[in-house]
Formats: sequence, C-alpha cells, structure tokens
Amino acid sequence: MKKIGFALLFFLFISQTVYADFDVQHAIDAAKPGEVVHIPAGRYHGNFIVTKPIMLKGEEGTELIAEKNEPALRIENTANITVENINLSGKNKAIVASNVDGLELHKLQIKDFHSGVHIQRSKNVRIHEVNVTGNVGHYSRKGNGLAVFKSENIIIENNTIEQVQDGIYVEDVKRIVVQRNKVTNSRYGTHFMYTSDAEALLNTYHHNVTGLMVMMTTDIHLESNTVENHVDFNGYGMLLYDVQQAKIKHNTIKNNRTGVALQKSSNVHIETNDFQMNQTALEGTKVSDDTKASNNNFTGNILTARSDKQGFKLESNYYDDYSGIDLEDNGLGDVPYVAVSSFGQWMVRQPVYQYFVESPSVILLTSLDQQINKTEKNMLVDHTPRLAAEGTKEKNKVNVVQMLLGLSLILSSLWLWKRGITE
Amino acid sequence: MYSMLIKLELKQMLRSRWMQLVGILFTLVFTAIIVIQQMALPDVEGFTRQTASFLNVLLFLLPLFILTIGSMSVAGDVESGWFSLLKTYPMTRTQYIAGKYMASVLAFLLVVVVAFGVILALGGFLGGVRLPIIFIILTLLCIFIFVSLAIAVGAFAKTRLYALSLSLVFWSIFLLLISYALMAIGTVVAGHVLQKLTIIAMHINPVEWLRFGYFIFTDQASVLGPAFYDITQFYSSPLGYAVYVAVTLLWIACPLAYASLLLKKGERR
Repeated sequence: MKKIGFALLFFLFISQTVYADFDVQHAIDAAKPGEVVHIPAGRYHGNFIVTKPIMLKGEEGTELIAEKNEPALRIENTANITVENINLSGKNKAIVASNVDGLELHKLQIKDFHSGVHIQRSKNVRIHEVNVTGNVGHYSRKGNGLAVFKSENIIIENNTIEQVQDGIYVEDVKRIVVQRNKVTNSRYGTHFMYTSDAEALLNTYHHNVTGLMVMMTTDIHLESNTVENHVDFNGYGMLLYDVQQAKIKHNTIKNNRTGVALQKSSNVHIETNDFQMNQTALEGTKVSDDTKASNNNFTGNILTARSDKQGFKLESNYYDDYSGIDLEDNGLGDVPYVAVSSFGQWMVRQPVYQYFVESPSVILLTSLDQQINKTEKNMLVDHTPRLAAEGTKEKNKVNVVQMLLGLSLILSSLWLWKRGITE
Repeated sequence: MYSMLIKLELKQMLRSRWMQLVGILFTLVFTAIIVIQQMALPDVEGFTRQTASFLNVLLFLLPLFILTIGSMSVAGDVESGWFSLLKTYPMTRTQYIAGKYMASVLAFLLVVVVAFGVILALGGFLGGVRLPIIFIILTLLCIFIFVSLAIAVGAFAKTRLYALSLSLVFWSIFLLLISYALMAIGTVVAGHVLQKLTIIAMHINPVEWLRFGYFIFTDQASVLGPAFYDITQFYSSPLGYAVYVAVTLLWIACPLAYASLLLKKGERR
C-alpha cells in the first residue's frame, strides 16, 4: 500500500513534464490549415512560430517558456489563428503577432515577461480572458500588458492585468473596443495614442498612476468605467490630451488626485458621470468652447472644477456644495452655480500653490470667494444646477461597538471633569 | 507641592465658565461637521473633503481656544499677584511652568475626549465614523505645542486683556496671515522660490507643521503636489520621522524656556 502511494506521488510529481517530449513546433508545422493543434499539459521551452491558419489549444498545465529574449510565440503573415488555454512565461515578450487577419487569444496566463502581448499591423483581433501579471519594480523597467500597434478592428475584453507599464496600450489603431477589463497597480490603465473610433466600456481601473490616458486621439467613447484611487503625485482618473470628439458617460470617478483632466482638447462631452471624493473633479486647460460637462453628479470633491481663462461649459450638474433654492420647483436651482475659485485658478497657473489645498487659509478664502464670484457670468458657471442627485444612498447600519465606545468616553471624561472640579 | 499645584490649576481651569463653554462649542462644531459629512458623503479612504474638514476644524478651533485660555491663565496669575504669592512657597519657576503646562494639557485633553466621545457615539449610530489614530496623535501634538505657546504668550503679556489680544494676533498669523503672505509672494516670484519659502514657513509655523505631519504620517503627501516631492520623500524616511519628532519637541520646549526666561526677568523687576 505504501509503495502504491509512493508510486502515485511520483506520477503526480512528474505529471507536469510527462508530455514534454511532445514537439510543439513540429506539431504546428505538420498541421494543415484549419486544424486544431492540441498541446498536452507540460512545460515546453522554445520560441514557437505560427505562419498558417490553425488553432493552438492547450490544457490545464500547458506552459510555453520563451528562450533567450525572443517571444514565446510568434504569429506572422497569416489569418484566422486562435490561441487558447495556455500559460506563457519567459523574459521579453510573451506573444508577438504581425500582419495577421483574424486572431483570437483566449484564456492565457502570462507572467514573468517584460511585455505580455504585442500586436502590430493586424486586423480583426479579439483578446479575451487573458491574465497578465508583470514583475515587481518601477514602471520604466516594465513593458505593456497588451499592446496593439497600427491595426484595425480590435476587441479587448474581460482581461485582468496588473503590475505592468501600461495595462492596455493602443497606438495608431482604427476601430477598437476595450471592455470589461481590470487593470491595477500599473502606470496607465489603458493608454490610447493616435487612435480613432475607440471605445472603452465597463472597465475597472484602480491604484494606477492614471486610469485612462488618451492622447492625440479622435472619436473616442469612454462609458461606464470605474476609475478610482489614482492619488499619486501625477495621478489622474482620466487624462485627455489633444483629443477631438470624445464622450465620457456614466463613469464612476472616485478618489483620484484629479478626476478628469482635459488638455488642448475639443468637442468633449462629459455626461452623467459620478465624481466622488476627488481632490479636483474636473480640470481643463486649452479646451475649446464646444466642451461641456452636463448632468454629472459632483459629491465630496475638494475642488469641483478648475481651468485656465478659456474655461468650459457646465450644464445641469448636481453639486453637493450648491446652496441655491428652487422656487420654480423644476428641479433646477434658481441661482447659477459658480465653480470658479481663485485658488483653483491659481493652482492651474502655479502648481506650487497646491500645497495650500484645503488649508485653513484657503477655506476662508474660498468662502469669501464664493460671495465675490457670484457675479461671474461665463467661466465655469452652471446656470441650471440640479438640486437632486440621481441614485439613492444606502442607509447606514448602527455600529454598536463604536457607539458604546463613544458613550463610555463621554461618561468617563465627564466624570473626570466633575471629579477635577470637586476634589 | 508640585502635584498640588497641578491639581489646583486643573481645578481652576475646569471650573472656568470659559473652559466649559469652549468644551461645549468645540464638541458641537466638531460633531456637527463630522456627522453631517458622514451622512452626506460616501465612505472613501484618503484625503477627502471629510478628512479635510476634520483637520481644519481641529486646526481652526483648538489653537484658538488653547492660546486664549492658556495665555490668559498665566497672565492672570501675574496680574492678580497669584504668581507672586506662589513664589513665597518652596516652588521653583520651572515647577510653576511645568505645573501650568501639565494642568492645561490635561484640561484640553478632557475637552477633546468629550468631543471624540460624542463623535464616536453619534457616528456609531449612523453606521460608523472614521477616526484615524494619526488624527488622534495629531490632536495630542496640537495640544502639547499650543499649550506651550500659550504659556509663553501669557508670560509675555502680563495682563489678561493683552494676553487675549496677543493670542488672537498669533492665531491669525499662524492660521491665515503666513499662508496669505506666501500666496501673495507667489504672484511675483518664481515657483521654485515660492516652494522654498513654503518649506521654510512649514517649519516656522506650528499649524503648517501639524498639517504637514498629517499628510506625511497618513501617506498622503501627494496631496501637496509634485513640487514638494523631495521634502515629502525625506520626511517619509526614518531620518525624516526623527527630524519631525525633534522639530516638534523644539516647538514644545522653546516656548516653555522662553516663558521661564520672561518670568525670571519679571521676578528681577
């Protein structure tokens, strides 16, 4: 019985390498177009190349390990490729795909690489359920999780990426949908560059330097994303630089140093978002007149909006620090909400002023400022502020321990006080 | 004799109507702000409007109350002749100052404990309120530093009215005027000059020192902006912590030493 147990343990131990004799490259080369290459469980060292339309399918425990600085898997000049259920590890890049028409990457686990997936000059690509975990270290020494260059018709969805430079890097791409991904502890959650016709939907970004970085991009739609806890020295929930035609809708932007920053951008519509507890909710520099923030909820932000002299439009937003009334009973305040504050404007012009943010002196200054700025007619003024936020707040439950602790503190300190007086 | 002095001083402080009113006012304002924000805002970690309100109520009210009550207490002793009477007892000047300091610290600790108790009780009823340990430590530091300053102001002033006005002057300088002066200077000098001046002001203004400490010890120095990256990195290191403690101790010891010197001069006269 003991011997059988040992034999079983031995087989269990060597089971990971039992199929290592299987020649992956030979199987790929031998496969006819359209065939499925099943790669048994095991660890396969090498730099594998695919140049024909096949499906590579692993099973639990199938791992491709890259040798030297070459990619573990290279896919070139082909069409209709699927890679599924494989773990990849190595040094430089896990997968490089060039000139591919029709690529699907599904259920991949990528770790210990400088970069995860690198796709260039390809079209009709779908990457889903891929996990990329980068190494610990500074962002400058890391690569991107999933990177797409000069490609079109791309879908990136349901991926989980952490500890990389940019979770999803998109450059010079036409038509791309990035949805339901989760990127954490990286430099940028998703980084769009020179891209057009892009969508980022239902993604979750937290604890990166910046959640969504969009640069030199045209026609982008950012909707229903959750962007929170970007509080680093240069942290932004979303930063749009030199962007034309952008819609930012239904996002939850919470606890960031700056919620949404617009720089040198035009025709940006920020609608129905929840800005909660950001240090600055909305910031705009050199934005065009057609940029507008409407029907958003601003709750608990230290500074609602700040801008340079050009400003941007605010329309029908809810502001928790609005003190006007609604005599017409139409749900809109009768007095305009003025978001402009001298201190906010100073901070844009001279960043050193940020030191004083929410300091006692600035609080007093802002209170006076709000009285003076009521005469402001154009810049950062909402003429139709909403009086009620959409959505309801969950009712709190009683915290009995804290309540009892508080009561005992009150009673004991009052007793001490009385004793101090009478003794 | 020394413990008797502390007891006596504490008794006088706690009996003072002013102190009792201060206790009620501090508790009411503190509780109102915290509870209203607790009900209105989502629960989020980090530097939020809620934590900023906590910090500002503390920095606005506590120094004001401590400076006025503490300084008037010492000046009242000199003015009424109580200090001269005490000198006929076997008690040194240092003992008098230390006793005054201890009694004032204990009295204000009681005020703060009552306020925190009410916040916890009401906050607990509303689902729980955040009262971070660093906030409690900062409150203690605020009491330790400003009681020391109040004694120095009281020793300098000699009369209660003078002490009251001097306290208000110091309070407004620490809370408002230094910051406004820096902001005004910032409009005419380069950013790096303003940054250096702000760092100097941070060390010579106890209110800014406590505020800076809050950001350092809660690991939220990024709130201060990238311009202060180097200094916040330094103060986030073990050596920085040691320097912070040393500067804080100086803020407590120097005013007390100055008060002792002033009273000695007064004795000679």
